[in-house]
Amino acid sequence: MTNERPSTVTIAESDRGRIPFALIGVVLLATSSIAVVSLQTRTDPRADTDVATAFDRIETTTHVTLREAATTGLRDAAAAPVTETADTALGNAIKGGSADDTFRNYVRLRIYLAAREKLARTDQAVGNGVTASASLPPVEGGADSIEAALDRVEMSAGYYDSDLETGVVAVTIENVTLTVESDAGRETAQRTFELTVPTTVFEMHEKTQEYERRLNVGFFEPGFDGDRLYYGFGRKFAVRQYPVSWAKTYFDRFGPKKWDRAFEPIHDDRSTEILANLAAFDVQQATFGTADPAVDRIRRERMTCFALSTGYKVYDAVSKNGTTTSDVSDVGDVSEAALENATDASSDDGRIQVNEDTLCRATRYMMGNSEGGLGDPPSIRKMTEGFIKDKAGNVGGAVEIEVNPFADASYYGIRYGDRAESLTDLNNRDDISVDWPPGETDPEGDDAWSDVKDNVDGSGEDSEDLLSGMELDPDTRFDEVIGHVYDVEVDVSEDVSRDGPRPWAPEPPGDNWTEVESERRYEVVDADDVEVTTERGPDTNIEGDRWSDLRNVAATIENELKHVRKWRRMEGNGQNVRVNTTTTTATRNVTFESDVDIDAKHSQRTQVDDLGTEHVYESGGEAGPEDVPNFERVPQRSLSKVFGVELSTEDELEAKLDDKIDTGSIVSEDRMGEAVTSRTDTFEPDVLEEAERETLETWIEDEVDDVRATVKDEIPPVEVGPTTFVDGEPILDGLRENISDMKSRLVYGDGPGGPYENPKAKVRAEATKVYLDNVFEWTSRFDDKATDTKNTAQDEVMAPLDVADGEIAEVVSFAQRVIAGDVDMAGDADFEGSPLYDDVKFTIDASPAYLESATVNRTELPAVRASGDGFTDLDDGVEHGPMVTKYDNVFLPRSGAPLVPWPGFWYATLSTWGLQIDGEYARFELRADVSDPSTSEPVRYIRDDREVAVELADGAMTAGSVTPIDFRSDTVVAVIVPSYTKAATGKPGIGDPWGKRYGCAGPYPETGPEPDEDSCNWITD
Amino acid sequence: MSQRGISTVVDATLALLLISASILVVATSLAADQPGMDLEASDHVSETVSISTANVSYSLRPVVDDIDDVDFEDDAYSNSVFQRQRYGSVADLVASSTMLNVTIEGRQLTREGEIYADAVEGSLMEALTGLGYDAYVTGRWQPYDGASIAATGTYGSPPPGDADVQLATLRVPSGVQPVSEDVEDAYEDGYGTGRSDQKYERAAGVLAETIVERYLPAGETQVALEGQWFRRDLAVYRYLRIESILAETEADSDWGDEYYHFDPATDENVLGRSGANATKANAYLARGTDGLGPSAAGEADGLRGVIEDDLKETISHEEMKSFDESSSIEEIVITVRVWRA
Repeated sequence: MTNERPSTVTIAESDRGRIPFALIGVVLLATSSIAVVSLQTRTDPRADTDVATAFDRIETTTHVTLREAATTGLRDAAAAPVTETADTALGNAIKGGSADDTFRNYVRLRIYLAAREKLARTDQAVGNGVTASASLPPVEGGADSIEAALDRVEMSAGYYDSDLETGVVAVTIENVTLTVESDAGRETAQRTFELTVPTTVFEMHEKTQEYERRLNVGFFEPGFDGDRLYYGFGRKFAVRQYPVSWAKTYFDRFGPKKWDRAFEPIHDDRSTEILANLAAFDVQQATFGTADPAVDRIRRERMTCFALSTGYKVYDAVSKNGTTTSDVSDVGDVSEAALENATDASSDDGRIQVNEDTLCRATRYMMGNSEGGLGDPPSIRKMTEGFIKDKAGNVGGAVEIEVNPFADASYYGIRYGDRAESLTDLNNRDDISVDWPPGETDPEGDDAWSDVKDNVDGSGEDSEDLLSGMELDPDTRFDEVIGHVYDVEVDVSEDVSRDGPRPWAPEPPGDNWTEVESERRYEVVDADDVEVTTERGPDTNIEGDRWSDLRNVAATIENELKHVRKWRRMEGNGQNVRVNTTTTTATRNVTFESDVDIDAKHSQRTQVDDLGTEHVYESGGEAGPEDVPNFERVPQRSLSKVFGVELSTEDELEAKLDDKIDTGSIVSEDRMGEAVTSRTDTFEPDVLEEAERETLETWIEDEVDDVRATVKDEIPPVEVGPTTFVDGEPILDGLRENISDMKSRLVYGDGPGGPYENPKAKVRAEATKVYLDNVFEWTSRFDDKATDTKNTAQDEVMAPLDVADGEIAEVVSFAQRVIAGDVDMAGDADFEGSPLYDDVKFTIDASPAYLESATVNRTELPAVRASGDGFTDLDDGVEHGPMVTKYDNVFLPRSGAPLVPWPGFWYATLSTWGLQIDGEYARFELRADVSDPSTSEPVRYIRDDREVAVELADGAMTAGSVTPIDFRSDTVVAVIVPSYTKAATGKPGIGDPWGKRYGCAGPYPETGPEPDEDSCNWITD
Repeated sequence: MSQRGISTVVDATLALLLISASILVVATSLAADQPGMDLEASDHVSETVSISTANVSYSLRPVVDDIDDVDFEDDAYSNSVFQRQRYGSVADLVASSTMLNVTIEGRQLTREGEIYADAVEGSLMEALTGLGYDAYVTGRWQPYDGASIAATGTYGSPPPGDADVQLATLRVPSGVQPVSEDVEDAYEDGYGTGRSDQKYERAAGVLAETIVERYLPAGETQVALEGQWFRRDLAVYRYLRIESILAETEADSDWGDEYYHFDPATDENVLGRSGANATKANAYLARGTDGLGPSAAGEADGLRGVIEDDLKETISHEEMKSFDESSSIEEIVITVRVWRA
């Protein structure tokens, strides 16, 4: 736009300029009670002397004056926007319920004062000794006087009051006294004036307030304006800092071993300062729709400085032999010639020792000289991708978690769980040849581990806590699996019966015989042998948890029984009475039968499906070692037990029973029952010999070992993104799904779920199931531990930062999205200006434009003032602290906290830092190109640390203070890298080395005027 | 996407036209009934000048290349830095334009107002010709009789000899502090010293300081000098312009060019960025070498010298004692002449 304005009025750039003109019309109409006479009736110029006309004249000029006064008052208020009141009559009078209210009251005061002052200078000499003037009462220091003045000014502003457009202010000034003096005397009248003027002041005020609010928004409080989530400083800073933190950490972690740490500490004042400033520029852009014009140059300079110094550190670390400018310029994407010129220019003797600081200084020369052949500085993204990521690998990439350690851990648990208490105990047992953790032979890895063990929670005492969950306490071990399958329960019932009646001896002939009942008895006249018949129950295809017939044995004995009864009778009379006795008998053959029903159940306590077993009480089937039996010993052993005889074959039962039983004594069913069975309670016969049990155990160990191999072979690793380690959600769902998917096949085979071939096959199925369940269980324990670890880290990181709502997961996930290029921070903001103006151009002028982590004085930054001082109070001795960057490794061990802290399961390492940015501008100025032509100075809204006194009729009085733009924003940086024990390249441990403290040990200095210069953390180069 | 059908100015003018027309109708009937109640057309016009408002956009471009020491051509400039706008009543626009066209012994203090003056004239004429008048408007600021420092603005062309011209005057604030009573006091104090040169010198000192403060308000200028680029250049421009005018007015003295204390290129100078001191720089312009303190070298008199010469020449001892009566330092007189087009 090179148009030099022609001598015409510019057309307003708005479609809504009509209200004010309507108002003008209203005013005109209101004042048009004046009669107008056409010009033709006039002949010669002359001044009017009529008093009424004088009133009209003064009313008209008062209108002009008050309009200008309103403009001036607004302008004065913007240059000294008081939002904090002093405890003076004036301060108390303008004190509002909020900073904005106070500011508006203050504007009203300024308008009144300007109006009063201007009116006092506009006496109109109307002619012929008639003068007209307008006036407002002076404001004196008393509260009443100030209140009365404020009461006369009503104001509604477009930014706040909905019936006006932004940029329009309607002002009413009440009770202006108009005075006309003439020879006839003095007449006065009171008038109220209503004016509408354009202003950008309130929009500037609001935008600047918003800027300050946004600067004060920390990472964890993004939502101060709903959908403008990312517009706060916290996020704007994070979007720059996070990828840098991650890239640096990854570089240090994965750089070849011979490299020293390039970034120690990971966060330093200079780089944090640069990124914080870039973020602040972005907040400016998002708030105002524009940024300080100085920003362009600064951004280029600082970004280049950042790129060069970062690149320098990388190359310095890669090659200790010294870095040439050529190496560095490759990194920074700058021309070598430009860099050499710059380094020459920045060194006194022309010979430059290239180091980080000289590079940064050099960039100022390059940028200061506009001819410098310096291209655009590399973006942070390009930097992290271009040279850090190249060397560090996939920054923030997924960690692969294989099933192997879980497959091994559960195998060892099931196998050795009776001998070792935990995985780590495995190493300590001579009889167990297992190295755990697996594959950790690198001493540096061991060191890394012990470092963590010693330093998590600050002391080694907690290592038991760390290891909780690693215990080897499986529900079922291999020997127990065998016990559960080789487990037969036998139930016996016996039913004794008699075939035919027993003999019955008759009464003797004659009368009066009385039986001697105690003498009644059965005798076996002729004893028979025992006869036994055995009925076999099924041996095959028997379900486990159901009684099945094992053997039904019927034993019979046929004896010839004789029944004997004794009788007595009294015979004779008197002294000749005597007792006579006699005996009667009866004989008959009687058969006794005992039916013994032996039932059995087997493997009732197994976990596998009860599909039935093919060969149960018999040998057979291919599965398992040949010399380990099925349950074929059960029938014979059961018979032996039930009948109380030692059988070497079942066929011997009859003979052995015959031997055992004295058949001559079997005269009743009871006798029969007692004689045939030895026990009829339930019992569990021994099924295996000890040696067989051992053989079987060895076999099943091998079988499950094969399953372990299959599991390892077939289950792919899960890829776990960094966020997953800290978001509290399950990590290993993928492994578990795969385990579940393969379980049926591995336990029951490929077939359609038929019966187990034999008990050994069932042992194998059972052991496989127990094993797979245990692998599953281990993954769940891992997840639980991961959640515990995350919660512990969460508490320790967040607690001291007063960001109770903060989540590490949110930080990590944000970093992930940033690294993936998924965060869109774009937003738009604009100034509305005023419908009465043409397009208003706003300019931001921040002092300093770039907030340094170093104190500055007036010589370096002309805007520096002592607290409270005005523009013209100059003191070269005053220092100002623009920015303090605080960073500290937050509580976690400095070499990183393991996720999960179990040896062998340490997949990722977490390092965290708490970053706090404090900043204070010495002066922050916003200008609109709306000018008072007499000085050409635009309207200026200026925020600094300044006390404001207002000139009243009886002297100056302090109204209050302008407050500087002062901000503080908290961010947590959390970086997760693959652990050294799982990816043994580079260096163990991440973050800042253990035992070294960076940042400030004492209290950090405050920002703003006259900070404590001796405090640490000021950059002094 | 502003869809503009009509400009604010045209809009305003239209509104004025309509309203004025209605007033004229009323007035005509009133005139028929009561021919004695006349209102002068010039009042009507001055009312229009006072009440109708306009927004004027203008450029400060003419300052470029005006003096050697400030080139206004930093790379960081975009054209828009030269752009300004002002919204106000037509009278206010005339007044501010007039004040910008200030001269010392006929030497123009700044070229900032050149385009502005044209634009103000445009809006003024647009407002008045809408009423069917031709107009010639002058603004005049003269702090005291015979002042060598004064501001004038003329808008429109003088009326033709045969025109039926109506005249109205309007007094509006000049923005200069009303210091005439302070001038009287200073004069009396100087008189009290018994040294004949003191009374005029002291009175002139008060006036000079006030006028310098009007054009270079220390608070604003301090911030501008501490700033960068155009705003700083512009402040430096005004200082150097005034300095060079003062140097020229003294050029015929024996001492030659005594103004060598301004050096904006040196940081520590009162016009340098880090040494910026508007209060001191203003004192230098107002009171010459004395303004810099007793140890400063040179014999520059500053604006005080110019004013002192004026006062001595045109204002008598008695008049100085009642300086307030003749001073019009705080106001601009706007004279409006209109005639039927």
